[in-house]
This record gives sequence, structure tokens and C-alpha cells, in this order.
Amino acid sequence: MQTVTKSHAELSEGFNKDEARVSWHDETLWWIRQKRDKAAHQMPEWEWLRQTASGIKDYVLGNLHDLLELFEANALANGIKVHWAADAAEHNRIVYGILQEHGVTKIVKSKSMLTEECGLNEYLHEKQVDVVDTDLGERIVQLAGEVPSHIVLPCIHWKKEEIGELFHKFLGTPEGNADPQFLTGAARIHLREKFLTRRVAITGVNFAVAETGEFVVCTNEGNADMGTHLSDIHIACMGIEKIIPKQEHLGIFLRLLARSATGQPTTTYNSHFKKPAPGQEMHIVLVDNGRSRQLGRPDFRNSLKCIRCGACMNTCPVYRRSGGHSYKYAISGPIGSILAPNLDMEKHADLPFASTLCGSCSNVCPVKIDIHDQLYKWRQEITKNGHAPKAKTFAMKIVAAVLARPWMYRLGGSVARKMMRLFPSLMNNKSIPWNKARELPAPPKQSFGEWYAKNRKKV
Amino acid sequence: MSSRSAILQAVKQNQPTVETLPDITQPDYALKFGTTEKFAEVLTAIGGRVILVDETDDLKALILQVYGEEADIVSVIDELPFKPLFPPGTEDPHVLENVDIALMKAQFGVSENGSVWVTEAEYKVRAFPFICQHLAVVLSRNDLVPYMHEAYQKISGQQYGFGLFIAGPSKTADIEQSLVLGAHGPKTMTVFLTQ
Repeated sequence: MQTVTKSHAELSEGFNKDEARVSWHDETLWWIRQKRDKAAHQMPEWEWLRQTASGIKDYVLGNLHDLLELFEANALANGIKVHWAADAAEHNRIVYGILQEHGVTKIVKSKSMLTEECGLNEYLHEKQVDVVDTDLGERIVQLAGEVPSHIVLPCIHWKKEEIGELFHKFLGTPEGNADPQFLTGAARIHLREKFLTRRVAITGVNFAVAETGEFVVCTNEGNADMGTHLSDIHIACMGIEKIIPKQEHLGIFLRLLARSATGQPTTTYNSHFKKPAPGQEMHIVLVDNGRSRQLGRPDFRNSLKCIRCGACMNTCPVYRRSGGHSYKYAISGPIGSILAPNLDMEKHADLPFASTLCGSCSNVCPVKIDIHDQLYKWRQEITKNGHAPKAKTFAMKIVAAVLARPWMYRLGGSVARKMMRLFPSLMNNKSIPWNKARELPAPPKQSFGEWYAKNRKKV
Repeated sequence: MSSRSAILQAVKQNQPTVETLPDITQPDYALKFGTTEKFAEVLTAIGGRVILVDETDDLKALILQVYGEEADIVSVIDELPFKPLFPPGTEDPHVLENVDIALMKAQFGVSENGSVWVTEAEYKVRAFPFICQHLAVVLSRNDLVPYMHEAYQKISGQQYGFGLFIAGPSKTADIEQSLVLGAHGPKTMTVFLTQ
């Protein structure tokens, strides 16, 4: 894997070089956010649904141990093979082990953010296993040698003309054809051949039901189903937090998921896998990879409620204008920024700062995760642990010193106002980071304090 | 210690105390609607097609009228025989790749999201509703429920190896958010809604 050392801000700067493109990205995601609003506002029971979903997830977090054991017992009784992986490396080894056992070197995979988190594609690539991502958006970024930039809309940052060029190169479509209908048709033919010939299919899991030992996979394209039902072996990979207690709870979560994600009333296919088909093998890999640790952090455990709808990304003013790749983590946007520091606080120290703390993410979250509060709390953790950028820590110390001394604050204000009037170019200089894409207002003649002291006497 | 024990132990140690599950009964102020009208409206809006079948209609004749007399239809409904699922001598789902129109029954439909619930009892082979070019579903109006809550009351206790909700044709909007019907699975879905 390529090592990226640039910060979110630096990578965003690259993304922001093409202003028209940023506006297009921003508007496209905002349009999806509006579709979500339209779906939600039609339902007077929407807030009740969110509250109930959040409450069910509270119960899951509080009873995860027993629910995992119950799920395992029921899945085993259903004829599913259950594996446990402590971390990403073990997850990858388990998957590869199953492939080796059957002598398989070519597989299909539908969308799974967990396998992205674990770096499964890169790992299998090194082992000479050919993995074909079958979600159209994922296939596009895979052909381009990229990773998804959004958990629901993997190639939201790609223009159709670029996809046309990519397909021309890899799938032999005519040069210059950028018609979405035509390109999707070409991908349909290309991927059908993979579905029909590959013996192993990997999928993610949206929900796993403890009570019945079944798991549910939601797609619009039907790619998870085309892969699994035409394969000999189905491997489903899930984080341990994907458990829900009862089958009837699916009614709550399926009502929220697609509406929050894209404004659709439901995903086209909500597939309930309970038992392997006759002659087929079904595996589930239960992955911890830091989740049990996050469960032990009272301030941050609610992040484990996430159902991966992407609503927080679509609404986030920073995500929309910086693009998913600037987060350098499989799950980008606000939710990724509170999940990633749990795995490696130092590496992801910049992410909780990639937010305005406006709170929009928390307001749209279908399971009511306090995302912006957690972003704020992670900033404190990160600073306490010495991972905040040095310049920022230094600047904050100066600000704290000034704010603690009223005389220094008054003096500073008065000097700054004078400087702005006398040497505007010195203060309004683009080399000062704050002035990037911002303009300083005209300096007032006096501070509010001075104005108040003067006007108060008149009364 | 195995990873299983290590994970379970860490979870047990770190999980908070939460004893009660919320009540999931829908509140009274939830939206009310006519199940047939809503089902037709929603399924049409998401790219499906609904054909209302009268009691006096001959369903087989109606299906041929919709798809054309020459239509290549594979049926898994005993009362509506067209071509059989498998040619003699095989039960390999891969041979279904040339199925044009797949005809099957649904157990029930959900009005709020235009989906239908089907299990092995209806589709016989798991790949069948996905691999076809067009999906045709027969469903009775009496088997429509308003919400997913009622849907799961119906599913509760059912024995199935694989069951699913299908809501419209296979679709994608991955290329610049332009909706395209027929991503990998059926390009159209038609529900024949009987009396």
C-alpha cells in the first residue's frame, strides 16, 4: 500500500485546485442530502424511527457479548461456518485460507467497507488472487487503481467523460462515449461473465440477526446476489457491531437505511441469507479490529451504532468540498473521522479537525450518533496525547494567554485595528493561512468594549 | 487464547449496562394510506410497473398481452405454466443465464416501499429473480401490508434458507448519479396485482 503522509488539509488543497469540480462535487452530494430530506419529511414517524433505532443499538452495545454468542450458535445451527478475527490481518488470513483450501485464485466481491478497512484487496493481490469488485462504482475505482471515496457512492468524484475513457481503455468501449446508460450496459456484460465463472463470492453484511442466525445484505444493483447465488462458496465479512437482537428490528433499520442514504424508500434487494444453498458453503467472518476497544470508551462507543448510510458525508460542508480521498481512510467524512482515531490516534490525528462542528451530521444520522460531539472530544484526546499539529498547539497557547489577561486582549485588539488600517496588505496577506479563500472585513474604528463604554453613559 | 475467546472477553469487559429494548410499535401518528394505491405509486416511482388484474381477466392471456405472444417466459408458478425452470437433466443455476422473462409469485408486498417478499418456496432457485432480463411477479392485493413492521410479523417463524425483498428492477446511479435500470439483474420488474 502506498504510504500517504499528507494531512487532510493538504490533500483538500489539491482537491480544491479545480474550483468547478469542487462545486460540482458539493452540489451533487447536497442534492442527495435533499432527497434524503424529502423522504424523511414525508414520514411523521421519522424521529420516532431514529430514536427507536438508536435505542436498539444501545441495547446491542450493552449486550454484545451475549448477542454474538447467540448469533454464532444460530448461524452454526443453520449450517453456516463462523470465523472470528481479532484484527484486519487475521481477517485477511482467514479469507485467504478459505480460498487456498479450495484452490481458488479468482473471486468476485460486492461492496464491503469492512474489507476496505482491512485492506483485503491489496492483501489478496499480493497473494496473486484476482479480485473483481462487482458494484459498478467500486469496479470503476478499482480499474482506476483507486479506493472508494464514499461508502455508498464509491466513484462520486468521477465525471462520466473520465469513466468513458477508463472503459475505453479497459473494456474496449468506443472512444468518446460517455453515456451513463451505455457505459452501465458495457459493465453489465463485463461483470456478467465474472459472475458466471467465479466460484467464490465475498459480500459484506448490513445486519446480522442474533435471534435467527441470518444476515441481511442490501444492494440496488443485485451484484451481491448475482455473485453469491452463482458461486460454490459465499464468504460474508462483518464487524461485530453489525449484530441486531431480533428479526423484527430489521423493520426499523431497513426503513431508515436507504432513505437516509439516497432518499429511496428501500434498496432494491434486501437479501436475507439464513442457510447455504444445497451444495454451497457459507462462511461468516466476525471481525473485531478495534471495535471492542471502542466499546470501552464511553465518549466514543456510540460510533459503533453506525449503519453505514453515508448521510453524514452528504451533508458535511467539509466532506463535500474536500472529497473522500482527503481522509485517507476507508470510511471518510464525519463518521470516518470518529472511527479512524480509535485505530491509530497519531496517524488519523488530523481527521477530527476536518470539521466545522456545525452538527449537521448528528442531525441527519439515522441512529442518532452524537458525531459532532465526538469530533470535539477526539480533538481533546488528540491534543492531550500530544498528536495535535505543533503550530496549532503553539497558537492556542498564545490565544489562551491573551484571553486570560484583559489588558493584553485590549492592547492586542487596538494594535490589530491600527495595523489593518495603516498596512492593510500586511494583514490581508494571502501568505497567512487564515486568509486563504477569506477576506478580512474592514477594520472598525473602535472595539465593542470602547463603543459600549461611550454609549452607555448617554442613557 | 483463541481470537473468539479474546474478542468475547474484551467485549464483555467493555460493554455498558443496558437492560431494556425499546418498544417498536408504530406510533398512532404514523402516516395512513390505502395499501393498493400506495404500493402502485411507490413501485412505479422506483422504476417498477404495476398492472391491476381484474377478477374476470385471464392472467395468462394478460401476461402474453403485456410481453407479446412470442415472449420467452420461464415460469415457476404451477398454475401458470410457460417454459420450465431447467431443461431436462440439469439443475445448475448457470444455465439460467439466458432466461428472458422470469415469472414467479410473491408471498406479500409492502406498500410503504413497493417491495415484495419471496423465498425459495416461490423462486425455487436463488439465482432466478436476479439472472433474468425481466422479472414478472404475481401478487394478490389481499397480501399487501402497509409497513415493514407488519412484513416482519408475517416473516416471523418462517423457515427459509434465503428470502428477500425485491423493490423494482436492478439499478445503479454510480455514473454521475444518472439512474440506469438493469445494472446486473432484471431491467424491468412488473407486478401483476390480482384481486
